[in-house]
Amino acid sequence: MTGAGTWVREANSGGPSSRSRSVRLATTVLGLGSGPIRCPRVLRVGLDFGDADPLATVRDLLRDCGFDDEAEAREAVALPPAPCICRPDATKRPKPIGALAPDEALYQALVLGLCTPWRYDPARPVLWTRTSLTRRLELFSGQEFYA
Amino acid sequence: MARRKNAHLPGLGVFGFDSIEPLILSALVTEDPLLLIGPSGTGKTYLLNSLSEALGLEHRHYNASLISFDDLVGFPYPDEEKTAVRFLETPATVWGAESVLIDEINRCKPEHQNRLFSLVHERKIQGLPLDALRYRWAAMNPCSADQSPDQDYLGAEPLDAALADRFAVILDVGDWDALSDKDRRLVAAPAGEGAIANDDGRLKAALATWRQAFTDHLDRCPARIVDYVCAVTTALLEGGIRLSPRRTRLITRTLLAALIVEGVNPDAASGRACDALFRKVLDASLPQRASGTAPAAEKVAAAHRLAWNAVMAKGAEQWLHYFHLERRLDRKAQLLVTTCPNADTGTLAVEQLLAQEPKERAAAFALAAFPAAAAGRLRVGAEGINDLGRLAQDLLTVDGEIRWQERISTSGTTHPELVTISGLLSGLEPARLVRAKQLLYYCIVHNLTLADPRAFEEEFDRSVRVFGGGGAA
Repeated sequence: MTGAGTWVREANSGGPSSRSRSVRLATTVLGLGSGPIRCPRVLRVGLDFGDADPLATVRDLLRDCGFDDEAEAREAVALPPAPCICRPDATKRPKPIGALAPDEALYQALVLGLCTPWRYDPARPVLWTRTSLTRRLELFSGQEFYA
Repeated sequence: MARRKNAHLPGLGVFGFDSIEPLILSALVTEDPLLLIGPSGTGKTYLLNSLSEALGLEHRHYNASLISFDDLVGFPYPDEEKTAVRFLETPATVWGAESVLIDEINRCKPEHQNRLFSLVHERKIQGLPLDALRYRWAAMNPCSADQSPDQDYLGAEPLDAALADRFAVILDVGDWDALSDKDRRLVAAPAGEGAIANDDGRLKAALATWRQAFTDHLDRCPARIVDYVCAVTTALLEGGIRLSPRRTRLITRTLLAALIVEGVNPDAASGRACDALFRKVLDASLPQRASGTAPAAEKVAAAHRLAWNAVMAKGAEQWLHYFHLERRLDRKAQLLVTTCPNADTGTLAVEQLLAQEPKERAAAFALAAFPAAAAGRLRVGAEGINDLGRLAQDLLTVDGEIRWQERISTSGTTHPELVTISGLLSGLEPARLVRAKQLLYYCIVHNLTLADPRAFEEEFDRSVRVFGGGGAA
């Protein structure tokens, strides 16, 4: 008490002695087109089927393009020749499949059929499932990761 | 317990050593140093003196706690030209000895231990070679660290680790409770007291045969024995039990000799009996026991099992054992790149590694391996590549929030791990820095504590170079 009726708090005011800090760490090697490591993006794929059944839609697409099955289309269409690293693409919504030219839509469907969420492998058979056809992916070249 | 077929020691009047006889005989074959550890009165000295009698050796028996150095070398005097020192020899001096027993080796003064070191290790004393010396034997009571409360061997200290490492075979000698009923009666009976051990040359003749077979095999030691020793040394190291590279050679020699003594063709060592024999040799080859730090038995057993299975397995299964035995990620990478037998085995190796390694090491391996696997440059099947990719995806693109506490009185602080890692990254060349940043930021974001970030990054970088095709591990 410093004077009549006046109090000064000198110890343990009850306030916190520390505060929480946070920072976002974001870094990637994918998409780097220059610098010591280059893993450039090769392709961005994704199809919006709306309410339509993806499998039925691509079967129709195959027929429209004059192919009996996906293996025949795989042979006829020039796809990226080298394996790629994949990453889910959340940046933008793809165009509705109806807005794409049939050969462009088929190209993307074939690429998606050769992808897992992590890898594009042109040496494997095309596997179309509802899951694989509705993925949105970015494909990157990983060749220079070991530079 | 049944007596070993063709046992030699009972013929010398030495009983109760059945279980360790093959190892004792192996040490005779290799002529590498032998150390017996056991309570007083268990026959250690009697055994070794009896061996020297049976082999007709010029033998010296010293008590390390009592000898002075002059007892060993004799009284020094100048030669006639007064240009060199000679030693006045007595029947007790070590010159001319073919076998030496140093009793109570862990009770002598440290300076004597140093002198005995060159005797045990190099067959030299005062820098002078002991040309006739073939056998270097020692005996000791359990050191203080190993004694039970009812034992009290005053002055019995742990053996210096460097000296202990010179003994190829280190054997625990059993006490009364380890003797069979028959051996107890034979030990207790007074017959034969003071008699010279004599088996009519049977042991000496057998030893000559074994020794010949041993030397014949030295230059073409079966790969399986060497493989076992390499594998078990790696596995022990994984369990925190280090063996010196010199020790590995001693183990190989002892294994080779033990197989010959047991009548097994070293080129065809396999089966349950050899499994047990290898384990015995391994147990007898751990120098830590003499220096008071006996390794945990379960760790030794596990290391033996891993190594034995790896050596005895065939083809892809064997490769998989070796892959898991390797401790360093870059060595695992080297195996995967160079010798993986097929994609199924590669997948299995990758899946097991990712499941068994700590998360930060699994992450480092995945980041290093996945770009090569995705490019189809590894013998790893689609499932294995997917497993690598699943983990690597969060490393190729790191995005997360990190939190830390800051004192009210300060401002502008940085996450402590980030400070450490920034210092580490600053010294790296550009491409390596980019890769290391991905890995180390991933570890921070996922709260993975790194005991030694620099060593961790170096191991990762070596792995990257292996997968990139630029360097052997």
